[in-house]
Order: sequence, then C-alpha cells, then structure tokens
Amino acid sequence: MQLPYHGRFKYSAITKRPDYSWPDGKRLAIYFAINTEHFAFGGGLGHALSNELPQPDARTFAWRDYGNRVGVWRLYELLDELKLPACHLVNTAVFDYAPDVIEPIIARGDEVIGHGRTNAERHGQWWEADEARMLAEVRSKIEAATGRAPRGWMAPWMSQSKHTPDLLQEAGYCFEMDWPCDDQPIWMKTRNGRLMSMPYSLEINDSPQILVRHHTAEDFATMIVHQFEEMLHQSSRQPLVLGIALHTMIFGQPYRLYALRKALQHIVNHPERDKVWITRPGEIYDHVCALPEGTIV
Amino acid sequence: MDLPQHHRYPFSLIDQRKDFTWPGGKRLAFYVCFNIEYFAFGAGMGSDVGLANPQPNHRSYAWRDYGNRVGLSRMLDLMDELNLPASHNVNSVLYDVHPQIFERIRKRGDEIIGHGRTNSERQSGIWEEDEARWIHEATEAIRVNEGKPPKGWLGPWLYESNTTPDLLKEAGYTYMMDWACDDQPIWMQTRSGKILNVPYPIEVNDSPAIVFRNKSAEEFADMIVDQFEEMLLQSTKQALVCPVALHTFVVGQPFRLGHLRRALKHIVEHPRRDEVWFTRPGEIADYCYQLPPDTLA
Repeated sequence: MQLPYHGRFKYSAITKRPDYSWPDGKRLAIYFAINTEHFAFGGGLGHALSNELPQPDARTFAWRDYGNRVGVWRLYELLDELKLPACHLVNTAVFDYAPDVIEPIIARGDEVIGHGRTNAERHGQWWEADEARMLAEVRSKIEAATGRAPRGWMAPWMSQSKHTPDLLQEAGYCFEMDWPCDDQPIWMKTRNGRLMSMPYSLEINDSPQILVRHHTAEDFATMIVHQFEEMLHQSSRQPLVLGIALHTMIFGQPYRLYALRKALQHIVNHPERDKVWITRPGEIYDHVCALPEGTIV
Repeated sequence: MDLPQHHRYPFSLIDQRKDFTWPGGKRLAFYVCFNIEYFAFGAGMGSDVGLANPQPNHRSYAWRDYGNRVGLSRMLDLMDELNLPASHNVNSVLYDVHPQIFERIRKRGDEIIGHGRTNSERQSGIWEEDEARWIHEATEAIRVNEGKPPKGWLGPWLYESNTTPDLLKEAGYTYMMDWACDDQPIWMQTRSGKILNVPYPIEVNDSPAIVFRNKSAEEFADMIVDQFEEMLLQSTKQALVCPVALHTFVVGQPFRLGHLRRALKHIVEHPRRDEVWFTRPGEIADYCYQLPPDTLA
C-alpha cells in the first residue's frame, strides 16, 4: 500500500549507512540552540506558561518578554561561564525590538539561524509567494544586521508548507532544522537541488517538555544528561548529533537555570569529553559537505 | 457609558443633513457592481453551495469557477442588452490567471474596483505591514494592467482590520465601500486624511441573500425591485444611492439570471427613470469630491 509521502528523502536505517567521524575522530556532536523570539502584544501566537487570558493578555506577553529582558542574558552568562558555543534561532523582529540581544551573539562568534520574523505567526498555511518573500526578507535582514546571511533555518513552530524545503533552497539556505527524524544530518530533495536536514530535537526541547508536557526543570536536566550518556554510548557505532533546544523565557528563569547548569556541567566535565565535539550547526554542515559524496544519505 | 468606538465617522441622522442632488438634478444614483473573484484549489476560503466537501473541495471550486468561465459573460450580455453601466470588484490574481476577462470590461468602459488579491483570503490576523503589502499588490496589478490605479476598494469578504481605512487612504484610494452604514456617501477619518465611503449593499447582494440566507432568485429579484421603488420614494427627501451587488457564480446561473433580468428591466424601463442616475461608484465618488466640502456627513 502506497501512503501519501513527502518525497523529500528515502527511508534509511541508521545502522546501514557509511561510517564517518566528526573532526579529530570525535563521534558525538553537540550543539546548543537558543530560541530568541518576539511576540505581538494583544494578538498572534505565542508560548504560554499557563492558561492564556483574553487579549490583551499582558501577563503572558510579559512572561515571554522576560526572556529578552533577563532570560537571554542569563543564558549568555551560563554559556560564557562554561565556554560553550551556541547557535541562536532569532526572530528578525528581535533585531528591531531588542538589538542589544544581537550584540553578544556576534561578539561570541556564534551562529544566527533564520527563525522567521516572529513566533507570533506560522507560515505553513500561507500562499507560496508570500512564504518565499518572508524567507528572503528574513535572510536579508540577518545579513544586513550581522554581516553574514544565515545558512540555517528553523521555522517558527517548526511550521512547514509543502513548499518550504524548495523555497529555503531557492532563497539560499543550506540546511533546515525542522524535521526531527534522525540523529544524523541527511539530504532532502528540493525542486532545484538539495537541502540538508540538520537534527534538531523536538524532545530535548524545553518548549514541548516544560510548557506542553509540564515537566520540571530537573526532569528536563535529567533528559539532557540521559540523552547525552546514551548517545555517547551509541556514537561508538555512528557519528551522531545531539541538539539541545532552549527558549529564553523558559530556561532563563533562575530556578530552571540552576538545573540546566548542572546538566551542562555534567557534559563539560565528562571523563569522555574528548569524544565530544561541542559545536554549532553551521560547522556540522561544513564538515558534512567536506565528506566524500555518498557518505550522507 | 463609553463603549469602544471606531472613531471613523460621527453619528449623523439622514434627515438632518444638507440637501444636494446628483448630476442633472437627479435624486437616486443606481449602480450595479459585479464581484469577479478567483479562488485557490484545495485551500483557503470560498463560498459553498450546499454543504462543503472536505478539501480538495472540487465541487465548490468548480461551482465558483463557473462564474468566471460562463456566468460573467452572461451577466455582461445582460448589462449590454439593458445598456447599463457596471463596476467590477476584481481579485487581482485574475490579471495573472485569466487576463482575457478584462477585454470586454475595458471595451464597455466599466470601472475596476480593488478587491484584494483573492477571496481565498481575508485581511484578518495579519500584521499591518503585510496588509499594506497585500493592498499594494492588488492595486499595482490594476494599475499596471489598466494603465491607471483603481479609485475604489471593497475588501474580500467585506473585511477590514482596524487599520484598513488608513492603509487604503495611504495607497491612494479616494473611496471604499466596506461600511454598509448609510444610503449616502459619507466621509471617514483616517490617520492620513479623509476617505469617502460609498454605499455598497450587504443586503441587496446575492452572496449573503442567496448563498448564506438561501433566498430564491425570485426573492432576490423582488428585493432589488422593492429596494429601488422604496428608495425612489425616499429620494425626494434626500439624494440616495441604490446599489446592487452581484457575484458571477451566483446570479450567473441561468435560472437566476432570468429573474435578475426582470428586476433590472423593471428599473431601466421605469416611468420615472429620468429621476435616476445610472452610474458607477467611481463617478459617485468623483461627484462627491466636487460638492462643497461640508455637504456630506
């Protein structure tokens, strides 16, 4: 029976692929993805900690805004403290609303990933022409503000239309992080070439785990540690990617940050740390592109 | 008690206004406005006749498509037969997909009115900047293809955001027809100056009457005749506008067209037809702009 299928890539078992390693023979690539978002007051979509009030929902807006005013700065401090690189999934509305937030990203040499205009909207149901224009607009806005066009894309709400991979490739993006279907980068077909799908976790992601599934910060910190330990073990068999997704308004809260610090310290101080490549998605992309053709499915 | 208000126009009683007449001392302006719309297949908004099938709702799509393929031509034949001017609310996507539609309209010297990009969407839930761009796209298509921009606007689904009148004024429109609040044109405030609102019917309109309220073609024809007769009487007291709004996929159906013919013939062959100005909304607006400034409410 043929069920509808997206046709972007073929099925492939992780155990039946060519082997390769990350730089210096390392086997587990880890990256931290900080989601930095800006929302409309009194309308649009957004994360919510509790039940949303009728609009204008100042309580929920302010809770989200804490992420840009306080939370993101605490996360920067923690990354600096542990000397960790990161990538930043930044809504372009943040560039206008809170340009201060962008400066440390550039100063740290971190990577900006295209993350739409705002998470107050979702583009998967738009007409193709409107979506294409938005993708290009986001790319040129980031390029103008940081001097470098983003190579990666991760959509607000991981939203996708049937055309998104085609449009991303056509707009000049190299990889997207919206398909949590694998622990290795894979190639996706688009109508004009290929686009890499970079592993990005829907599970090791504070938004679904804490906001939707109501786990505690300790639960989430434990998930990070267990994911890391298990993947470190598995990575003797295949080179793997572990992405850890954080949102400023969630893990920027002090009581959660405390739990996150312990989990990250566990990774940083791990006895087998030499097998781990703590990196950014763009660097993973570059490494994969330099591998012999056919290494990546 | 102060309730929320739109602040677009002050209250005004129709019998406490300055009197004026239409050109030639006429008292009743009569116009016919077609809605020529284009819809996405398998997606977006659109009217249904009867129950809507799940997408791809080809049944409703095809029913609407009949309007562009057949209904419009039949309706233009009727306008020619009765020697009636007409105006056309046009989705701008039609210039890309069915440019042939415009040949006859141009030959007749009819008016093209901005009517958004497509009725598969409504300008709701979008940011002001995007709404301005949608209006610009719709306007540009008309300007490029007709050699001049439209003067008038009717929003898809008669929808307006809180900023639509401002954006229309800023896009160069001299009038709009979205506010069915009066039988005379009135001035509306925008942040960039005044815009005229020309009466456009939400009742003597085949879409709400026939599609949503299930009125028969005969009842709809009677509504036109009764509206005309009553307004002809009332127009001795004030200069009034009597508009009729039609959709190609509704009255373009043969069994309905006959009733429309009967109603329009009643009007064009009326013994008092000399008191009627058979016109178009743009001519009404132009005339209003020539009246002494404080004439209209």
